Amino acid sequence: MVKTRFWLIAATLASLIPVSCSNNPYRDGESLEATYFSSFSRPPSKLDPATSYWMHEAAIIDQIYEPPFQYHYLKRPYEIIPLTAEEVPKPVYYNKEGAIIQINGSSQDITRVEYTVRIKPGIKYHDHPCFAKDEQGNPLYKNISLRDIKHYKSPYDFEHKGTRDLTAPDYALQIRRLADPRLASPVYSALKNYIAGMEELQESYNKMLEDERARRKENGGASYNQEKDERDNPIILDYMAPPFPGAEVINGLTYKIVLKREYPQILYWMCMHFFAAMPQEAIYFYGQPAMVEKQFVINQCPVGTGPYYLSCFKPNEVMILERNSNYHEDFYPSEGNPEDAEAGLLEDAGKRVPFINRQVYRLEKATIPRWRKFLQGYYDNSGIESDVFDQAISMKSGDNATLSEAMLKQGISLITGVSPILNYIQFNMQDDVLGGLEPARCKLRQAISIVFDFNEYLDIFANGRGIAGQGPIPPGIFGYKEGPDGTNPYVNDWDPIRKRNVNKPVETARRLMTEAGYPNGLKPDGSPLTLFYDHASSGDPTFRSSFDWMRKRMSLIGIRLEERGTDLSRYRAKHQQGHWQISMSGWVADYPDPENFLFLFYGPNGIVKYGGPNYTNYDDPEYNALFRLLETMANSPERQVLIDKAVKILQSQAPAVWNYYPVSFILKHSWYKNFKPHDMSSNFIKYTRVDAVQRTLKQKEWNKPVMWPIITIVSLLILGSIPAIVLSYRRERGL
Amino acid sequence: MLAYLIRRIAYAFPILLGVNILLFILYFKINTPDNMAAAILGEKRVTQEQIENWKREHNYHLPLFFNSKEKGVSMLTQTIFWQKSMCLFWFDFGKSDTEETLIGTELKNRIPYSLALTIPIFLASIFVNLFFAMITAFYRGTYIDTFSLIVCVIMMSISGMFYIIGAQAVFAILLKIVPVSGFDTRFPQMINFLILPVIIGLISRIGSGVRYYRTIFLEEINKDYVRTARAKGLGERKVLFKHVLKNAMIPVLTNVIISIPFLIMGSLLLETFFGIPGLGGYTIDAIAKQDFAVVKAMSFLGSVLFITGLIAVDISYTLVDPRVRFQ
Repeated sequence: MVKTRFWLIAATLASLIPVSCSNNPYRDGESLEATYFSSFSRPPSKLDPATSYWMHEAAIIDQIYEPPFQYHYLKRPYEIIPLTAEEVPKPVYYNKEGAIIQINGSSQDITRVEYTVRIKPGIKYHDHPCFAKDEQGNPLYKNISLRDIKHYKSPYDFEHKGTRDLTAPDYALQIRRLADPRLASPVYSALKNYIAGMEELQESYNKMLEDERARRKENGGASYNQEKDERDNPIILDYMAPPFPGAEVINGLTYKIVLKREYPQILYWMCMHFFAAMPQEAIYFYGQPAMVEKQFVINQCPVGTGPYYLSCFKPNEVMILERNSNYHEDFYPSEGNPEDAEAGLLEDAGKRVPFINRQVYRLEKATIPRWRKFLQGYYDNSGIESDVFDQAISMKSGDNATLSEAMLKQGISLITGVSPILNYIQFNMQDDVLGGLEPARCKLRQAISIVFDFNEYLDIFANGRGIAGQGPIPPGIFGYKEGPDGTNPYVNDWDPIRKRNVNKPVETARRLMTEAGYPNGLKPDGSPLTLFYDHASSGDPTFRSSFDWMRKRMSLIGIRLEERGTDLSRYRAKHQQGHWQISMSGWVADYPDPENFLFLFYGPNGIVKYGGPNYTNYDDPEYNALFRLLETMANSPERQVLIDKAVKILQSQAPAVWNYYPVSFILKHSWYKNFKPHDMSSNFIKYTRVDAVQRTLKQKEWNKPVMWPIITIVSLLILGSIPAIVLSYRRERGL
Repeated sequence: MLAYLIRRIAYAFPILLGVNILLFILYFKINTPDNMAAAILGEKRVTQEQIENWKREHNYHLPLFFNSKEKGVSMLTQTIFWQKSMCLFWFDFGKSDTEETLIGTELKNRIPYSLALTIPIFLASIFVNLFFAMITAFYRGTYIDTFSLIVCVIMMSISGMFYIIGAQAVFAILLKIVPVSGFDTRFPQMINFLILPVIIGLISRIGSGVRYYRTIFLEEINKDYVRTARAKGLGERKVLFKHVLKNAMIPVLTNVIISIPFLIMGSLLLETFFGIPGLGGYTIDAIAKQDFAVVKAMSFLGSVLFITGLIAVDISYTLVDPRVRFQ
């Protein structure tokens, strides 16, 4: 009996062995489908289009929510084209008398600007239970109890689903949601300056919330707990109740955005998910207590008209996007930049998109497993982490990065591109030592800029993945100048052999220090000049090494750099009050316009006086005047002239050290087609395609199991245990 | 015993309250709600107005311990401490500050994954460690004992990270017989993803486990009843497995039972490297993200589990040793 049981267990275990003999992490046949496989290292926490501001979140929701406009997938510089709108509208300007005015360039007479957006008819939301109706046409799923949905894992487990046409009120609703104080939308602070009535709208919502909470608190007494109360009984604001002139619905398919002043960049904002459509049904559906308890909420279960819907959201494990069967007509672009045709990016021109039916994103917190799975063919593309950089890239010919032979053998291709990101070291322009626009202060900042050699920094800390910065505008943005024309003449020289900017010699910096009144880094009283670097990065493991590098570079001109580490709150407070000297900053483009970088140095945006995003508090009247002129201009040679002047002022007065513009390195397998990196939008997966047959064949070829070492080791273990068995036998018998 | 149990559970409440107060003071001594809001909202385009809104929505606009603007009991209840920490006593963990998810739901979702990993490791390591400890005790003083000592010390000296990276390199990359990482909820496909982390978890525990249990067994082996058993002619195998093993159960149980409640907390390294969506990294991630709601919930849960473990150990003593009685 015991023997029989032993053999049964052994047979069961043996039958499981074939299951374990493959490194394929997917289900059988999954790779053969038109599925895109990728990974994410950081779980998204906000999938609400009003609040999400991180790129890893946009990578998901930009495929679900559709704003009225989008960027052309292939064309560079970036071009706005309609998505759900019929066309990109032209602004209509009004003066204070309410009359339409024609302007050529910027005008002070404008008091109101209107953009009228007409939506394409017949666009439908993906099938969702919030649209399901009963026979009387009322929402089918209202007053749902927790018991009804106890076993549901996602909103798609509801038996009935429905859809409806996209309408203009959906867009107006979403614009109103940006003012909901509960959502703390990151773009509210920027948009309230332009969209008419947005501040008043937030005040109204605040009042509505306060009144309701006061009522509930009175009823709840001492045990009132706002968080629990609103979990059990969510407050559903009637968003459309307060008057709001900023988003006006004209009819079912037309709405108007009304601005207080000229602001052409609003069209860029309207390419982002903040301006996507939000159906009222979703707000009511997800506002039910049972839904909140089950975590079926807008923040996790988006409802949109985009090419995909989120069928599975387990942020700690996997996210799956499925094709939206109701997706409207959308086609692969028929034109692009000249190099696109050569790269085969126009082979699918004019075909209906999306090509991919399903997208699977798996959480990979550790870099090594993610990288290994890419090499095994289980992910279609990958970035390159620093610890595997040498394995993937060889720097053979000068500075040109090429793929290593192992990568080329696998048919992997490398796509690089400069990201529209500016990293900079900023100076407090209100500081007694470093600040001010006097020539001596400018020379001191220029001297510091010279010693911070960011070509060296990039080589040490970033595998050379970046371009040393010359000014506030990164490559790819109108106004950026390449080559010697773009060189910062106060800090850099153009190296015609290496074809890159190099820092001026340290002697130049030392001379500038003398002219600034600090010969050899000494103050007039003979003591060394000590500057303070303020930061909130004490917990960052890479901080120490990069700070040591900074300190070493500063010592070349005799300056002692000390750190003043603090927590984030205190760090913010220091900046708000102007009590700091040097700190690190950065800016990722919201949209491809130079205004989005130059505004960081516009005087009336100063953080101390006005609470704006100009942390340096740089305030130069000439620069401010130039900024006001170029801010609302269309890209043109005239605008370029103004930008050049503004950049030249910044370069000479050096309120910041323009560190570098990062270069992104992306690897992709040969079966992943039509991929072109897009820095402004994440809705491009609909244009890409996978050759699933090729992928499956390659996966099988690269991942044949090797069993003989296991068999050998097990045999050796069995053989090795024989002496112990013999010894035991002899002991038992007293031999 | 029931009275003893009730008393122990009653003792747990002041301990848990103390843990809550201590954690709250420590957390808000080095952090402020403003700091939390700033870290959670990010740095881009964040204004003080948004920070104030965030605090208002998450109840961090209230005073920490005492609300002088309120009257009566509300002076205590309308505070961050009461609103955030006291609800833990009825296991209402609240909402995550960063992800807006319900922590209770998150725990329910993650615990099964952690258990799928830790239970096999736990059971296998008890069996393997006891088995090898008995073997080494059986062969004490022989070359097998010396060899096992060397192997155990080597195994104890190697970092867990090395086991993980090494095993992934060998089994998933060179031999290609298991996936590098991932998870599948279906059985038996789940085995494909669990076999390697379970083996690593097991191997990383063998060194210390075998040495610990061997010491316990050797202590027992020198006792009078073992000499009596041998004197009456019992074989060494019978002495060890029938008599020594039973009598060595108290220290073994202390070690084993106290760790049972913690199985649900998962394994940080194994879950991170093998992409197992359990509870392993939940607390660490929360600390990094300044998510006080999760930090306090997990600390509370940890304290509850520890107390539960201690009570369970006490109860288990009565099961293995009839002489033990609770007063």
